Amino acid sequence: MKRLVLIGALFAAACGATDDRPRTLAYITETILEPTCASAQCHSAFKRAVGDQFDTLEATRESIVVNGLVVYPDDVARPTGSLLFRTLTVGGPSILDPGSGNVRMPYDAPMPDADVELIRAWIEEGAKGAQCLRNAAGHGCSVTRDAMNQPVFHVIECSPDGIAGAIVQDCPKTSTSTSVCTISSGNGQCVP
Amino acid sequence: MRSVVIVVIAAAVLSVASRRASAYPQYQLSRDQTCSSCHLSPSGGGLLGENGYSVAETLSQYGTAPEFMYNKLPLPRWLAVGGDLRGATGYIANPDGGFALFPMQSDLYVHAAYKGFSLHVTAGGRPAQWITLNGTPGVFDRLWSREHYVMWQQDASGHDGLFVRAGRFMPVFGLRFAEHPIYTRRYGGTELYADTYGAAVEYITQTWEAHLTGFIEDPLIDPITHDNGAAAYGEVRLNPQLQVGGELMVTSSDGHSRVRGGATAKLYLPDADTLIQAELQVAHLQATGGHSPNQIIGYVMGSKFLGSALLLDVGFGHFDENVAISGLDRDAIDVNLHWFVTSHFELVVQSRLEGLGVLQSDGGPTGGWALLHGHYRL
Repeated sequence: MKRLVLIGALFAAACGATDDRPRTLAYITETILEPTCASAQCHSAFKRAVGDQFDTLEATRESIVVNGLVVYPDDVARPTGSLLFRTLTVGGPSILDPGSGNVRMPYDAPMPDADVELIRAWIEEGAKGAQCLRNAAGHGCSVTRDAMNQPVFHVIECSPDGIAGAIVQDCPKTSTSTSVCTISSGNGQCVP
Repeated sequence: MRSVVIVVIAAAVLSVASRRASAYPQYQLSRDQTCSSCHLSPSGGGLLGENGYSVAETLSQYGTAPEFMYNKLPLPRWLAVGGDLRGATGYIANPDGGFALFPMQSDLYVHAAYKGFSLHVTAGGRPAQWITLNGTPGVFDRLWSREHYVMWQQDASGHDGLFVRAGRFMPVFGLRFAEHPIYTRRYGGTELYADTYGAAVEYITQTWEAHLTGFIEDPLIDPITHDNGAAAYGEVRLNPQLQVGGELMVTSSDGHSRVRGGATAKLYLPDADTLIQAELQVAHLQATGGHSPNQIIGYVMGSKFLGSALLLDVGFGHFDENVAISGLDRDAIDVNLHWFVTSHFELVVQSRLEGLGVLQSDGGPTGGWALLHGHYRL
């Protein structure tokens, strides 16, 4: 929470400050996530800790969408509530040991507040590039959250560069089971 | 339970706090002129030669037979075998704090030579790639060969001259500090496990040396870096106590490219038995979309030899992610105390204080660690 307050103060103090860096997933990946997060034992292709990989644009897109780090469109309205932003500020729930508390990232080196703000602004502007995921052709997948904050999967129209289109199909969800959207042969489809 | 999480993450992150620290650039100028004087590799690190064994014995508190397995297993002259085992324990706070205990390195080296030709293989443990939340990596997922290369050297029995090698190894660049969290390694193009396939031409004399490496993204495994490029490094020893160097690395990867240029320097003060070494890089990143940040990466370390078996390092690192934007710099202060107990065993107290804008009025420490690190050389 203290870090959130600090970042809030940064927003206030930064009014008028010049940070003209591109608010794009490619830039954020190449200049922030890859050097900060994709180290040997963490989120490189070599390790892929907790299934997240941030060393290429495609890998970052997949990690953000599949692992729900930014849920489109829900998190666009409130970027500070996204798992990605919270993990960088106050910490997110531990995946390695669920229920044990929050873990803040990056673990081994602090991330400057201006970088966190750039990521927040990118989410606020639509999280372009990581709204959805698809392979070379066809439909893609997206994830939203229901009233209980549980993931709901959809098959959607998705451009190759991660821009979401219309929902084609909501993956069925019952009280006992949830089907998920997966990419197969370039097409998103619901799989029980 | 929270401490369990911290320990798990510590093992995942800090288990590499100084892995592959078998080369000590602190010894260059202070104890010898070149890395290859003590190591079989022209860029230093790994297996020791006869002079390296002698230094290991001389510098240790309780000098034991420095050869492989205390020379209980004599090897033919054409074969060299060795290994490194490391582990660490201590406290980490970044920003959560907790106790940590973890293995660091388990590598075996084999070097076979015939006249001027040689084959080098490093095999050992690696961190397994994540499978799923409930997935368990197999034994072979935890093993790999970090280095393997063939080499030809002009002087088959010496340490100088022309070296040509091809295979998998770390591109030769900069001062090659042992501790990979040092900024000029982590952010400077030679981060941990950045070894990859390439070819190098290297020339070493007692007064100057030059290394040129071309490399590609590892096509066989999921690698740390996805770069293709070339690295050049050269250094000139102006006198036995002073050396200056220059470095240049050009890489391209996945739509963006980077140029790193920099300078290095080493100064040995014999009266104080102290070595000062520094490296400064300027990096220009041509990012996707045209924006091109310039970065500064620097590290300076003073190393004081205390008696015959103690070495104290005090280092300061600075990394500015984008010099055009304020608030994107970070700094680290490192203090390491090495105790070379025997020719084969070393204890190191490693500590780091790291923060954002330590040199700025509104900055401050945000994390760090204090670890006791044990290293056994086979």
